[in-house]
Amino acid sequence: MLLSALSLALTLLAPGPASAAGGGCVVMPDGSCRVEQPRMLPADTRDERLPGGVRVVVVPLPASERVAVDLLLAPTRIDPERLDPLVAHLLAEELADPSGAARRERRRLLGIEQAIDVQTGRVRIELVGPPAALPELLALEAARLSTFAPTSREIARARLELQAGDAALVGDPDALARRLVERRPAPPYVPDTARVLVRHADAWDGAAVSVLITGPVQPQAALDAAAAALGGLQALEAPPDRGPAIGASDRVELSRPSVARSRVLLSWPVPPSAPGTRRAAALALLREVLIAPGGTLDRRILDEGLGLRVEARADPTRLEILAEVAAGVHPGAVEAALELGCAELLAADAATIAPVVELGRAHLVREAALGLDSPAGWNRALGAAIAEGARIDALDRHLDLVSDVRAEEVLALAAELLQPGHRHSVVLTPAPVLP
Amino acid sequence: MSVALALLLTACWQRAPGPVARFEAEGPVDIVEERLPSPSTTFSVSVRAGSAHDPPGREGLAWLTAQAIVLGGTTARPAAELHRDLYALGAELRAEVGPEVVTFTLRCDRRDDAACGALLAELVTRPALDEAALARARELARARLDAAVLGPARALAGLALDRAVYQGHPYGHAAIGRLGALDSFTADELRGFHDGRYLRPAATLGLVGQPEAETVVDVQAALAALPPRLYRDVTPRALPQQEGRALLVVEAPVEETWVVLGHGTDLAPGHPDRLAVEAGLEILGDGPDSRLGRALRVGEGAPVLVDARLGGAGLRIQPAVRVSLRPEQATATLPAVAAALAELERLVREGPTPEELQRWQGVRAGGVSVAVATPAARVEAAAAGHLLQGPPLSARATAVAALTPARVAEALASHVRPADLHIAVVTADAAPFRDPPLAAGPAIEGPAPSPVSVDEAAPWLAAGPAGADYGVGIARLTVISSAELLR
Repeated sequence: MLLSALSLALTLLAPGPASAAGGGCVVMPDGSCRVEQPRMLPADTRDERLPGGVRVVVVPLPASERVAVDLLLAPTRIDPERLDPLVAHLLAEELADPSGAARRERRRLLGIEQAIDVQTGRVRIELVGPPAALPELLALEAARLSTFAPTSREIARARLELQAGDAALVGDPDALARRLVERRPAPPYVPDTARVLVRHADAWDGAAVSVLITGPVQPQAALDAAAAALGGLQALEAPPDRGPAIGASDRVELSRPSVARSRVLLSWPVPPSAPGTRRAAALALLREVLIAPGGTLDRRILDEGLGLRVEARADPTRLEILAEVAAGVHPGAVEAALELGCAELLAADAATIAPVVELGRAHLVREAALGLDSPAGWNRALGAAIAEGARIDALDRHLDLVSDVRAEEVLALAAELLQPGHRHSVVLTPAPVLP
Repeated sequence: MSVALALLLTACWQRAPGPVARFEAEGPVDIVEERLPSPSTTFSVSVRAGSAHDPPGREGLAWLTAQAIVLGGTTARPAAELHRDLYALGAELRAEVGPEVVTFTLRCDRRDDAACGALLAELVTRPALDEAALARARELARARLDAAVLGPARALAGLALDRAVYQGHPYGHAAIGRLGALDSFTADELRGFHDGRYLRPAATLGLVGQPEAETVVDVQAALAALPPRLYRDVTPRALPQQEGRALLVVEAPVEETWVVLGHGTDLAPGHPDRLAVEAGLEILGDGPDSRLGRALRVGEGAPVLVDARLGGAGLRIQPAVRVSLRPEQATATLPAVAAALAELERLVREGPTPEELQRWQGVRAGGVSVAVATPAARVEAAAAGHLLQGPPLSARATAVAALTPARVAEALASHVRPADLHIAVVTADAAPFRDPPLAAGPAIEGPAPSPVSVDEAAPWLAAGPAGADYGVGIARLTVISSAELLR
């Protein structure tokens, strides 16, 4: 039974009845194939707001061993662009006051794991623990906000931990290239201690806080527990809208000692498109078409030995391609190959790119399913949807639309977005490190 | 597959082998599994073919072989087709190379478990390992080594300590190898390593999820293509003797200073003292509430990070005692080291208090260890433990509860030698370490215990252990660059 993986993937796209368990293909009136997806969100999922504005999402997963509780903090009036990474770190690592030490100890004794994500401009602090500890998990999350009053000494130590643990802050070339294109401060990160000390004292806005609870929980009981822990937070004022991070076309070249291999980053602004819309699905497919095996950039960069890897990212504000340049290759050659690859895509017709679109479609569908195989995976996906201002059922709609979008729509979006006049380029190269 | 073959394989299929070593090389590959409802299936194949098996002068061979397997396709499926298949499956394939064990992991949608299992077995048993695969693996290694020369300091410190502690031992080099050897490897050499080390009795299949029984039988049957030869372990091997304290300073273009001090031990996974030493070291330095954390006032915000444990990168039969320090300022390095040494000496002399051990037992019982927090991690740990004859994870809870302060003290006294340590420092400026009072030149004969006043050397430590003066007592000093460390 040595089925080739590809033939199995293509089986999904072959004509036949939809399968509730495993997905399948429905032939549409125009002859195209639509992959039917099983519903992802459980029927008794809850998405509600507490009176103080805190959003609470509960996804019951009865078969899970652990429960995941994620605290999401949106940018607020204090940090309109993005929450300060230092603030995020201080929130995640309980402070040195006696109650902070007690919370840290409690976390360890209960076998609670903690993770933090500050990459999206928001802060997501995740606790994963035994289901019986749900009230305690929520109390631990709430206590971060209610006791947030760091001393200058704690800030100094947090800075040390940040520099030790966060590659993005100590010279990771990918992160550095992305920061440059976003026009954010380049590493090394220098926190503004006074600002952290003074301005966050009473800053938490209930409307900018979300809590995700995923695992073997009873929905109403979980909502009640969330209300008990976080009901005290009040809405302050609406955070300012984030516009596109970048404006007109430009190009940046920078050399850094922390870079061993050059990076080339091309980025295009994306007009807002709500998650769960047809346009967002087309954008996801465009991203895959750019980097799929056998696609234009795969051939031009990897097959030609110009680069070690090519990645593409798409979010509601930006589409970007990042290449790590191979040894002995001039980054200009990679930049030119990326530009040629994009031009080739723009010149292609739908029939030419259709096989790559189908491959990307199969990948997205499978990738989404794999991302939801744990409570923490659910919270990551939901957190991303919430961060983009979507309703949580956007998860289901998005996959339906991914299955439905046609190659012509992907090409049309490419023609709209991948304009040289809108492109921002960053070329990051090594600099001599020792005399 | 015929029903007869399925029945035959099922009949000899050991589903959960447990800790008992198996000697019949002709039997099927052993399986460890976590069966649980999940939309995904994770397959792993662990092989006792880690970097300790690199022949002398061929450092990096195990790593290159594993990466060439992942990157290079199979004899039946070219690399481009393989990666297209993996992409279509949305699957995540990775190879992790430790000193003892290489683990290939493939995680797939449950609907694809048959295809995924077949693909992983095909990769492990019939890799192409041709020139193109070697070239891709070599380029990846070169990129990573070039980057590693630049930091981060923490990773360099770990490599530096391994080099010092395991000099002349199979653990004495980085799994990824070194830049100087990279261009000399041939595809024939990789194929030879695969033929000689990827053996049936040296492999374990791990499963997480609910794959169909027929799929499991198929994967196990495919793995039977691995040669059924017995093999010889390269470890344990005599550890180099260290008398006194030696300092290795690695100068690197890093912004921070990292220090790791330690020495090797013979505490194999099944050794009766291993858990007690783990307990003692974690009591010493696992976080701000540990003994060392309290001594340095980490919990009150002192700008230094501490960590102490038994181990090193990857599972080891001969793990190292490791105490890590990350002072904010390089000038505080020596006082921090002095404090760590003093606390280590005190712990070995006096053992832990009942309260300290009770707290550690509580933490362990809580299952905080990330290594056992997820089913996939449990399977990976169980597979590696099975290959290295370690106790099953299920036995650890009982062992943790059975520890006493006296038992921990006895184990620490037997296996931890604070007087005979290697100290590895990674810093941007090695000059201060060449100067008195720490050292008088590139080589100092005999102990030179020059006391360093904590109050004078580092104001931030002034509030530390009251009135303490420490002598670090370095007997030997070596200074190299990070490029030399990885050359």
